[in-house]
Amino acid sequence: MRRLPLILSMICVIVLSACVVPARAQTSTTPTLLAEIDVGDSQNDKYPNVTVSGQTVFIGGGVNNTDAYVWSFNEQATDIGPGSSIGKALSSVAKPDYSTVAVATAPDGTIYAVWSSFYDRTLSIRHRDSSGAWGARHLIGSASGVDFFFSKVAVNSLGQVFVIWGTDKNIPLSLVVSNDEGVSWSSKYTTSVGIYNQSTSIAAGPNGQIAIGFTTDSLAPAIAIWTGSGLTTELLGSAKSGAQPGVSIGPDGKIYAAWRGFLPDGTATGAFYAERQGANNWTTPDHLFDGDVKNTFNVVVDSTGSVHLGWNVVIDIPRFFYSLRQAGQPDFSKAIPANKGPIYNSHFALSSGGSLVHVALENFSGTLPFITYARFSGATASSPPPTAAPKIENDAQSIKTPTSVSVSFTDVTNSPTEIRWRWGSAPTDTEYDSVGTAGWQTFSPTTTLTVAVPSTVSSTTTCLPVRLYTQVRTATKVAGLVQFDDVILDSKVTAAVRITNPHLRQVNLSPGSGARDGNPTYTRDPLVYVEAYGVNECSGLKELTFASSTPITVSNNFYAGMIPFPGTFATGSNTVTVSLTDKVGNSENYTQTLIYDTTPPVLDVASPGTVSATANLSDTVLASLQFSNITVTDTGGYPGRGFWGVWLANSRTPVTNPTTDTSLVWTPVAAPGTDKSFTISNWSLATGIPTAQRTAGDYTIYARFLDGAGNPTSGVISTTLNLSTITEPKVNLPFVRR
Amino acid sequence: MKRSKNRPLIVSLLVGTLVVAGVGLALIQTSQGAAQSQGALVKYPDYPPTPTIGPNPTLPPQLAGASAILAQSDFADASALRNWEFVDQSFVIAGAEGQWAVKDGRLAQNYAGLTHDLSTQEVAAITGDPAWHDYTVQVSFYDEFNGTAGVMAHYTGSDPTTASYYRIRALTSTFSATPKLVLERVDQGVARALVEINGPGFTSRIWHTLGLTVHGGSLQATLDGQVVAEATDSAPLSAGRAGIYTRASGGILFDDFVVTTP
Repeated sequence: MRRLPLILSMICVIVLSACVVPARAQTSTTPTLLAEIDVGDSQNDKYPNVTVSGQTVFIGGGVNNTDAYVWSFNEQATDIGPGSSIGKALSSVAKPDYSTVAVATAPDGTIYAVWSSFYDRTLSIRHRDSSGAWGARHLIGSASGVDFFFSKVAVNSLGQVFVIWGTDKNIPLSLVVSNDEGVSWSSKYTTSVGIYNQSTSIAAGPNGQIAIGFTTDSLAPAIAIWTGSGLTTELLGSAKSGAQPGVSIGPDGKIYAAWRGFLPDGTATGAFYAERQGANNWTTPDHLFDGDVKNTFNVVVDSTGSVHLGWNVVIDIPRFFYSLRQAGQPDFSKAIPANKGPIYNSHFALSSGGSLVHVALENFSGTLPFITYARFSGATASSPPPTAAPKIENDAQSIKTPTSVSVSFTDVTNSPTEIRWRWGSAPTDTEYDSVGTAGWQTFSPTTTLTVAVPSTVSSTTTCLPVRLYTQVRTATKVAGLVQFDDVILDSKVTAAVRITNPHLRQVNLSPGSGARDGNPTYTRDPLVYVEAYGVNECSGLKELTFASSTPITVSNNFYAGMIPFPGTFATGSNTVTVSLTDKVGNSENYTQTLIYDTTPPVLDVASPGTVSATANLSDTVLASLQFSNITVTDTGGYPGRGFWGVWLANSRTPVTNPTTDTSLVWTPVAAPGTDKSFTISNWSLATGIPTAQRTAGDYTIYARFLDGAGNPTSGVISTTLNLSTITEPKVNLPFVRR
Repeated sequence: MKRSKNRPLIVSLLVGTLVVAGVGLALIQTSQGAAQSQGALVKYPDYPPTPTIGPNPTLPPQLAGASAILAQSDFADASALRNWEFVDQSFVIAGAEGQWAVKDGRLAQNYAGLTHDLSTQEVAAITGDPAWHDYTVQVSFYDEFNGTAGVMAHYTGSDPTTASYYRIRALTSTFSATPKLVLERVDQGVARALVEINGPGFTSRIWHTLGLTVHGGSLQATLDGQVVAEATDSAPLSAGRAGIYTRASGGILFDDFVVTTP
């Protein structure tokens, strides 16, 4: 009995201890409403949808039963400009409810927009890249008599695009997947249960995860989870217990859901919240609050694990409220309302690590619903996502194709400690080019990385830029948005080069005397004509070097000019080399053999051969010149008959010394064939003859012979042709009937 | 000795009582985050309490002298719904139909669909005989947050999206949209305003009466017994049923529906 006081004391301690339960820590994060802006041109919009890429907010919505619109603006915007139509969203029943627009952001920041057009029963998608350009519209589905209601889109960490929609009450929800940015689509996947056809939710997470919130046809809140090859459905409650769950996937892959509840008789029971612990294993739902909650509940878990809730509830009028459970804290904040209303539907997205909450509100004030944008302060950004903008080779536009590139970083924020990268696509946990677990390796803001260029990238032969995607994360595994830099890889000089006889007729710069034509591989002067221009040259031509002389700058990817041969240009055959260098340092040599020949050919005095002329019957001013047995010797080495062509001149009167007579105008004409006898057709007797002298009568044609370099014979042969009439060629234009 | 005999029993009772009390307190204090029976995990800011819905207004004097009552309903119980046809006035998908119910002796618009979604869908409750003509239709309404109330007369057509009728519809003063009152004729589902009034709109959370009298081509609309709009239709709709108009947003009650002839 002496122990009785002790026993009683101990019992009292136990009882008192039971009474003293540790008070839950109160949250220190209090959200506030920062802005409310009516979207002016959002007339007649239902179910607005919002996403964020970096610091830019994108709202999608149908407008006036005609167009799918997207509005974009900065996360701190104080006003919102006009939206842009991205396609037709027509409603045959003049209701916007069934021609809605959904938006989502891919890991690389690309925005996807999906919209249905009730009138023509189509479901379409477009995506907007980082440059702001919207790509082509791709049709996801089109079928007469088949409807696409309440479509939603999400892009998982693998870059796969998921689009869902409802078709009718009691029919399963439909899902299709695209692995090529919406160009092509998988066959349709469906939920294992029918749905109650109303607005749904979809969320993407790490490791390719996708989760979908919907209401079953028995009025139970449910989550469908993508397995990689289909959907598995998990119920959050019993039949007739709730609807329209919002769903989100945390950075660790955990799935979160929140939904509105009701009793079997329809009496509203407020909202509930649960977290998935495993397959078909959810925490006991937390009853968030009572009240008449309406339409889809929103839940978003940010990269730090903070849980954001947004919902519509009737308190005096239908209002939107936002609440937050900061990561690491046990309680949700007090609900903060948007001021404007009544609000019928809402959807929100986060930016700046969850510190800003962007809400698209469906506002109704008597006639047509429109969008009001609301911005709340959200989670305390104790661990906002880091950034580090990559710059390949100091942000060069193009570089000589390397085996690796140096990558430095600008705009480094929020202390990233790890980095991963991938060429051509955003790095994911399963696909990356960096080294480390899931591609993550140590990162230092001041270090210049050396990133290997795989052969699949370096082998590109186009001048299109290749893209390196990088992603950094903090020591607490808070990953930033995928960022990228582009560079053009230039592996070689690609140019068209012409090294030729400077006296060719096509060369406008032909110097000196002698025939202005000849064989391209000869020259009678110690210089050459060089023409070079870049053809599919990625970086552009920079310099041209001729025979090791001083480099010549190439402007605008083109050069043309006469270049004296430096030093001694030996008579006879010479190999000429032109070296081209592009702007990234690639170089290429182009060679050509040129014969330097200054010795004129010699027309045999004894048997030079003959020339005769015959006028054309219809155009008498044109003559056919027949050369026979022309005998020429060329010590310069022109092969065969010893001459390349004929140097012709006309005269109305015979001249005494054709080789020195300055009244003659000599014109080079290539001699056809290789034979000593040949015919030159359509020689104009008017060539070199003043117009006033082009009359009937005698025309004397003188001929000298040219070697490949354009050196003429001193010997001349001639012939005279008498024309009784002069007729010139005419061009008959087609008669146009009036 | 007698006391010492009872002491173990007393001690046992005392110990048992303390243990039970301790365990009970412990159970009450724990598991605050999970149990649905606990208080809300998310607290709302303070809002003024929802006003109590007051009594219905008395019947306006002009109806007191009516010669005949064609129809009347005070929605005393759910059986009153049997006399009504509830329609959606534009296309809705299956499951999104407007819902109606009798609550506390009043006809309540009860949102859309079995999940009671907020909807801007236009809906109506129709009653009566297609042969009715030249009558006054009147109803009392109490708007909580719906914001749209109306009555219809000479309603003809089986498809509500292509029906024809006269309608007076009113908006709450809290809506920014105008006009606040529209007397209109709807032909084959297409409305044409006869009178538009950019007035202040009705005040929510008090009872109002809204009436529409059709006599030949003469139309007269009343709000709270006051004539608010009059119009003449040169080619009037000759006859039809009467009805109540609103949106599937819930938050509105109707009562004391009556159709009378002069």
